Amino acid sequence: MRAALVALLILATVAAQAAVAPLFPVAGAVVDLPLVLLALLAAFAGPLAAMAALPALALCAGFALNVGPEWLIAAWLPLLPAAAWLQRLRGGARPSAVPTLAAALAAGLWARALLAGVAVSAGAAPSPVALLTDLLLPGMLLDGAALAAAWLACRALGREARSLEPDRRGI
Amino acid sequence: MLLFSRYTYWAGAMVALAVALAVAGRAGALDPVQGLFLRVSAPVEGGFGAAFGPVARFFDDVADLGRLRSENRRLLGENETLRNENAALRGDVRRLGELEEALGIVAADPSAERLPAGVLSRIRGPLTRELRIDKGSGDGVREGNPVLSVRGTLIGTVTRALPGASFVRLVADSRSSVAAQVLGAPADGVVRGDGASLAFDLAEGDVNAGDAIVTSGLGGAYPPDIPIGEVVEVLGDVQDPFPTVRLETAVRIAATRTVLVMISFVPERFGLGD
Repeated sequence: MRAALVALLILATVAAQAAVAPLFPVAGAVVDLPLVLLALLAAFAGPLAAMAALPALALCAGFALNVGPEWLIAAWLPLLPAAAWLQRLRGGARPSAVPTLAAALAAGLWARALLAGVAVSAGAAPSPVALLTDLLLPGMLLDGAALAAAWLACRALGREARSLEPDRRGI
Repeated sequence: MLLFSRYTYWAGAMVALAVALAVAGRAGALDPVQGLFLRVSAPVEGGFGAAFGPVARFFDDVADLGRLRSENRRLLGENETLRNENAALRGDVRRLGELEEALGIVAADPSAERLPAGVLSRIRGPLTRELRIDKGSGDGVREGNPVLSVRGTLIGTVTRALPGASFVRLVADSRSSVAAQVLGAPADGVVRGDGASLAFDLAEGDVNAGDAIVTSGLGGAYPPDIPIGEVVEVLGDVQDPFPTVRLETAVRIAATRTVLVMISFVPERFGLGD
């Protein structure tokens, strides 16, 4: 039942990334909804769910967005360890919104930089300033806004954040 | 220690999976799965697009109000000019038809070579702009086919053709480059996208605001004389041999629902950089 729900969430998120996200761009960036979903899954469903969801999400998003799934795995891979590391730095057993948000923003920055690098290797020649102002910064803004809104929605629904460390939760 | 936590083993497994997927993708082993997935996800995407499209258009229109007013004034003037030109061109076409008949030339029907396709989604990634259309290799679409708007303006190129769908790299994609020329003038260069807008890298000749830019056919990636856009701004010094030339296309990708795939044209040598 839980796996089916996660599968549905993955399908809906990928469809929204392909059909809805491009409708609301800021400069040259669009929100990275799969990354937001991964952060929410890690925080509210536990790291196991997010660890299992990442390859499925990368495969589905790769198919829908015409990007190699291998690049998406590499793009989103640092999110979970970074979030767990930030949680450990704060010393809490459960993640709060701020470290998760910080990890998602950093991971989003990395993901966009990596995918921009892939585009550059295929012939794109963006200026570094435009890359920063049109892609990386607006992307962080969009991811941050989407994650903050979704986090508040989850809390309003009564969901409690869980530990991000798989050692404690088990795998 | 996080370094020795189970994340380490998981990250290792993900890297191995990524390598396996890269190999499988290059070998084309994922294509049938991708085709199946796109068939399943298309109705969901369509539903999302239909639900959120009007909201996005509302915000677009509000943001564009000032520009739309001035554009409307300009278009009213242009409309009258074009009507007059159109009447003259109709006369020319009639005369040309008579001449061709006289010479025994049978012109092929261009519409037979253009396959109408519906836009399924507009994909926007870091520096990339693509469309997914509902026609694929099963309908005769091949990689390298140019894709036009319904009025004949170049939109992009098919870079991936699956049995039931294809991906089109837009001219505005930062990986695109199109050999182009100024219509009716000895000036040519390359049209490049930057992910949002178009620029014309002039190689030779002069260019002015208002000039129409069409494909030159050089390199064999596109047929010649397909309209791409109009020069809206020439930046740089008058003496500058390589000024920055900004183009504007008449096609609004956000509102485009149907495109034409030139299935009869396949470049002599198709490469992603073309």
